[in-house]
Amino acid sequence: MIWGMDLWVFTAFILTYIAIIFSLIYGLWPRKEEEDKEERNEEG
Amino acid sequence: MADTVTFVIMLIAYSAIMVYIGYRGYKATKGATDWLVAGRRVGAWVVALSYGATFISAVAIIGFGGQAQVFGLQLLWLSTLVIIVGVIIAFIVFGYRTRIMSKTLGALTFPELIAKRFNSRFIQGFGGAVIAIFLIAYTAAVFKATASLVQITFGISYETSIIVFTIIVAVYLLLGGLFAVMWTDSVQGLIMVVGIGLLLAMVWASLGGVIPANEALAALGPAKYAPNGLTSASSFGSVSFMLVTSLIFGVGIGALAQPQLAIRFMTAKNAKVLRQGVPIGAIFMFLTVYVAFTVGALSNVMFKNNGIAIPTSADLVIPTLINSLFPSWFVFLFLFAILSASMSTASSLFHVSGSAVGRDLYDKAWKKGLAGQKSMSVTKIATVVVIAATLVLSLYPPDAVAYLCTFAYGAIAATFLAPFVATLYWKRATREGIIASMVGGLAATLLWYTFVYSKTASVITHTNVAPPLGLLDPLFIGIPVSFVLVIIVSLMTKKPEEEHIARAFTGIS
Repeated sequence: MIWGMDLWVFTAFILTYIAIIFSLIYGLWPRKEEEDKEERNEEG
Repeated sequence: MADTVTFVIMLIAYSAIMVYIGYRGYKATKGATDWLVAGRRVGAWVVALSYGATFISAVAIIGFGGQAQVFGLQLLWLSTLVIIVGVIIAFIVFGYRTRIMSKTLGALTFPELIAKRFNSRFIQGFGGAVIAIFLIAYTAAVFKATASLVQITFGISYETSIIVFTIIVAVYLLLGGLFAVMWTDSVQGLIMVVGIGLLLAMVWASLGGVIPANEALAALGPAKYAPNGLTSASSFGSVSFMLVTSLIFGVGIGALAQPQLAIRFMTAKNAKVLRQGVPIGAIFMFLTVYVAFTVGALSNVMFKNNGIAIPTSADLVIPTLINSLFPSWFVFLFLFAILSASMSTASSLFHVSGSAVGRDLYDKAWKKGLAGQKSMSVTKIATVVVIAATLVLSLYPPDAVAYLCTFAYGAIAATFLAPFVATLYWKRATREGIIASMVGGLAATLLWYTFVYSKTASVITHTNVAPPLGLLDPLFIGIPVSFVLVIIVSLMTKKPEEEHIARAFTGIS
């Protein structure tokens, strides 16, 4: 038992937090060049 | 029973805010692009909150929260999957391409995107019909769940609740189209986050924190559908394992092809909006679904500690917990969070079903495309018809509605997921392949529900297929069938024109 949960349930618990951290890094990390390029593509 | 007068006053204030947003939407709506895809100029917060609030209905909070009381914390896998698949993968893998391709092809509905990519009126008509049939039934179920909660909490009759909710949603939706829907969704999403998020904080606080709460839950020992304990997974291959994995993967994967969610990608102003929407959507899911499932499981401890009998129906677990153990101010807050969850889902379902009937089925498939203003009027009239039909079905539900609602999620996922993937990623896919995939995926799912899936087959055709086959969610049959069909039939038929493919994939690297 880890924090009162078996390994399988704990994996889900911890994966949730990893997913949240990943989403924060992905969403807040600026990718200006790629997005500018995409905008130019669309306009073109 | 909580104070009915206070509830009515708060409901009037709440409705006034929603209608005001509807009016703002009305001022911003000039044509079909505004009504159907909010002018393709929506920002990150509204796209992500609207996506989340549409995704998560009262059924997800009350229904699945109740299921967590039965299955225990192993249901946390579902919230993990909702965050990873339902938000992160959906936005990154499907979001960007859906936005660009729908803009390039001028598609204003989800079936229209697939139809324009493959030059087929049949695809649009068939897609529209599937959405209309199943989502109207699903909307009726969403209203039913909320009205039942209001009835339990405030003693307001079921019929009155249904009629009042329908009128409120109808007013703001018909005023402002998708602008109104998405902005009200966002406000409702924030109410959900506060009301539901606070619930877990209060439950954890009363049980002494995360670890003591889990230990107290584990100490309760095995339960019927959690034979290894309420904080442990079921043994591989057992009935409870089949039930829980079927539920988790069914809901998680099925989320990828729901038209009411996919349409949100078409409304994003630019790629940056979708990127920034990922963390907002993920945190929203965490504060709603993850909370509901954790609280549902921990309700076992709360009921035991306070000497309250566990309700016999899973749907009554969360309402009983709130009404018996929380202060009245929180009962109001939570009820408005649930009301918001229902209204945000219902308004989006009305919108997508109305455009399916008006634009996809009547305008584009049957009439081969009406002129500008006439096309808009048809969609609005169809939305009114859809709302009226849902109201009647909610008040006088025939048996068929219960089945259509059960089938809805799986049927829609099996009809659209493979064609959606092929639309965005497979240039060799053909019109014939897509049609075979849609029809075949839907047929396989419905046949499985009718003859094999024990929960429905035992009632509809009185057939009893033993586990594990009888417990296998129809989605696990329908989706593979539709993928196999799109691949085989596409490879057997003539390659699509290169010029059309080049145009459809413009701006997609």
